[in-house]
Amino acid sequence: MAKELNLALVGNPNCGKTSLFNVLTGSRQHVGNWPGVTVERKEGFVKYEGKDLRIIDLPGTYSFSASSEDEIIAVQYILQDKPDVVINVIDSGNIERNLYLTVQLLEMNTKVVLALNMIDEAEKKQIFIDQQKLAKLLGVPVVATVATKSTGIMEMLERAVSLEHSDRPSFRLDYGQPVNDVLQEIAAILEDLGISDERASSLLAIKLLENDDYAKEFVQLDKHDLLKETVQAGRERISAEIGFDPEIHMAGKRYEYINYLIKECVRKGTAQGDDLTEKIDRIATNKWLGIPLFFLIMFLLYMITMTFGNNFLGSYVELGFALLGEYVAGLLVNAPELVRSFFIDALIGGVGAVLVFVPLMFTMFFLISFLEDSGYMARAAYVMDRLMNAVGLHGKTAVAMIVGSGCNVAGIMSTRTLDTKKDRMIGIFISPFISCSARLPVYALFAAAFFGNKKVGILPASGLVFFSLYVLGILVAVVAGKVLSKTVFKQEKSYFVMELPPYRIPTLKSLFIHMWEKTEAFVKKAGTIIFAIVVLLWILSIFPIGVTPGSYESLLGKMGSAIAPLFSPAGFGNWESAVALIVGIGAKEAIVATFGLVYGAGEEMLSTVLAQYFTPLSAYAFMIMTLLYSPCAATFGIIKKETNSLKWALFSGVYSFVIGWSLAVLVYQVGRLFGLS
Amino acid sequence: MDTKYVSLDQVPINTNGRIINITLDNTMRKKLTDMGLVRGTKFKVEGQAPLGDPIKINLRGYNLTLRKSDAKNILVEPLEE
Repeated sequence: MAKELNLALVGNPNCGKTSLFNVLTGSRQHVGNWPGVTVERKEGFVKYEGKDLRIIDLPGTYSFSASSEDEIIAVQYILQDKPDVVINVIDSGNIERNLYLTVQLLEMNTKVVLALNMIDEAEKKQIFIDQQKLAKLLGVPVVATVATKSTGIMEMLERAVSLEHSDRPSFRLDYGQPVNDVLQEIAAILEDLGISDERASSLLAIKLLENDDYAKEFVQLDKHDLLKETVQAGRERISAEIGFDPEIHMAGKRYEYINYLIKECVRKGTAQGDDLTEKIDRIATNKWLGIPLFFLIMFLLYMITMTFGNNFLGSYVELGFALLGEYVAGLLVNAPELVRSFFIDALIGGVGAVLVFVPLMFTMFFLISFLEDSGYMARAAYVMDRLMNAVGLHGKTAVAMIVGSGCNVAGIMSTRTLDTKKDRMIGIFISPFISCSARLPVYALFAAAFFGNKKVGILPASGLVFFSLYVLGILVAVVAGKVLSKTVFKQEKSYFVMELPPYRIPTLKSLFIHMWEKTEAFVKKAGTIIFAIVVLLWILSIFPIGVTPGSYESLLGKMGSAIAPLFSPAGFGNWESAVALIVGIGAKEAIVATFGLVYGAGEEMLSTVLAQYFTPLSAYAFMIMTLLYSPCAATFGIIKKETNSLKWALFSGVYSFVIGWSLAVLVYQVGRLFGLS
Repeated sequence: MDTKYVSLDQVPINTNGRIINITLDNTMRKKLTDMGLVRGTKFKVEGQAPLGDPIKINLRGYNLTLRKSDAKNILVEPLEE
């Protein structure tokens, strides 16, 4: 069998690279993680004229300057894994900036096919590109494509495959003197030291002169004194003779070359920009309408996710599991109680705890993908950044917080749109403080039991309790974000430099692919942890054998009574509350059911029973605890997955527990000082 | 002669300009360079977010947004048109 050919897709964000990948590979793709990092690695397989092609979708980047995780992955892949051919996807309407990456690719002396994507959109903007001339000047094949209409795809593959046995291009940009001399000097040393061959050395010399961290690490600069001194002396010489740093000068030279290419190959008509985008933006980023519109769109996102996804679709999943439970119970009617409970409560319960989120995820990711692919998400960040930046957060974090009020897991997953590690980590750590829908049953139970028919002025007290908890969640999230950004992530940088891409109508196909990918990732990665925690809690509740599950005599009950004194300062130091909180780590909505179980009371009686154990003040403290303490199993699982670190997940669990406990105690003790009970 | 130069955050909406110098830390400068903002690049300030920050500029045929605190460290020459 012929050798498999590796084709890597490279391009700027918003260049339509993902659509191209989807068109090429359809459902024959899979998502994995790049070794050691959390950025996803997508691969797909295509057969072309009897050849097996492996298509690798590299993260979208503006440059190869190793300043973000995505860029390092892309550079590393091209330099170390050496794909046979790189397909450089260009947003034709934005060719000038997109060519910057192309020049850098050519400097790596890789075999490149240029795909002028969205050529139709460019022509609508009256941007006309002379493909033949561009191909001649750059020395690489150029193909026009429209990924969303599957135009030009076959030709692109044909060109890529035909490069298999050709020589690598030997592209050199003239950086002028003294830069050319210095580059040669560094390259010669690299070859003498045997670090790289002639071809790689010219690229490495460029990167070293640009003070690129990845290149410095790659050649182990600190171990080679002569090389280090030569680079240092070269940088100083250039700065002295030209007047500014080599990297600035060199980037300038690249753009000079691009300007030349544009002048030779691109003809622009008289049409002024993109009318539709300008019209939409006049409303979407309007001084008065921009922010209200953002909240309206987020409200709709939340409502559709909860009503259609969670309540409508979700009810079928719940019904399915209830029926399955009954069916299995029927099958096991003669089996010992323990076996029956294992199948129904642990196994089916555990799988159910994972799958119950799926309809909600599907709906939300479909909508979020729509907002992202259409270009609105960039506007949302733009509109909200000032407000969020006032408390040390990023514009895009606003989206995560609102999505999180439906489900924290979803909120955390939506932080993927944040570019810098700092903003992303903070977004992940503050999301669990937002009141999600699973906490509502707990609030509803306690508010009805203790504040049900009271009024504050003309307002119902229970409504105020609900509202205060939502506000408290947001406040804690904001304060935690501020504190984290000033302490734990002090060293990390945050910036807001973002492209506002033109509005585009997403294709249904790519929306469904995104929806499926993200949900699948959740089920696979977070699912195992959720399942494990549910099974663990089940084991704790039934042992030692013979006890009533979840009773005072069970392991769970014993654990509860052991930690109960911890909650005495907050006013709810009884073992039943402690057990409910432990179970709540499995899933917060399980807290209500647990109270029902341990008090042996049905839902309608529960309010009356609770009144014997709680006062309004301690009930409120308990609600605060429920809101803030350690995230549920699903949230914990997703934090571990998204940060790729158990340590960070545990950190999140512990610090939120401490905050929840402290505030519950504070409210209870201060309340008592003021004579409340 | 420097009086004709201002920082980018001072440039009024719908005004054209040319980049003179970027005095930001390395990461940020590299990021801007990658996005096409180098010495001599021509741009037009297109607008600002509802609360006045970030700002939106058009360069090389696309729209870029950045915070005013960063724009403060970008020296530009406003151009008549």
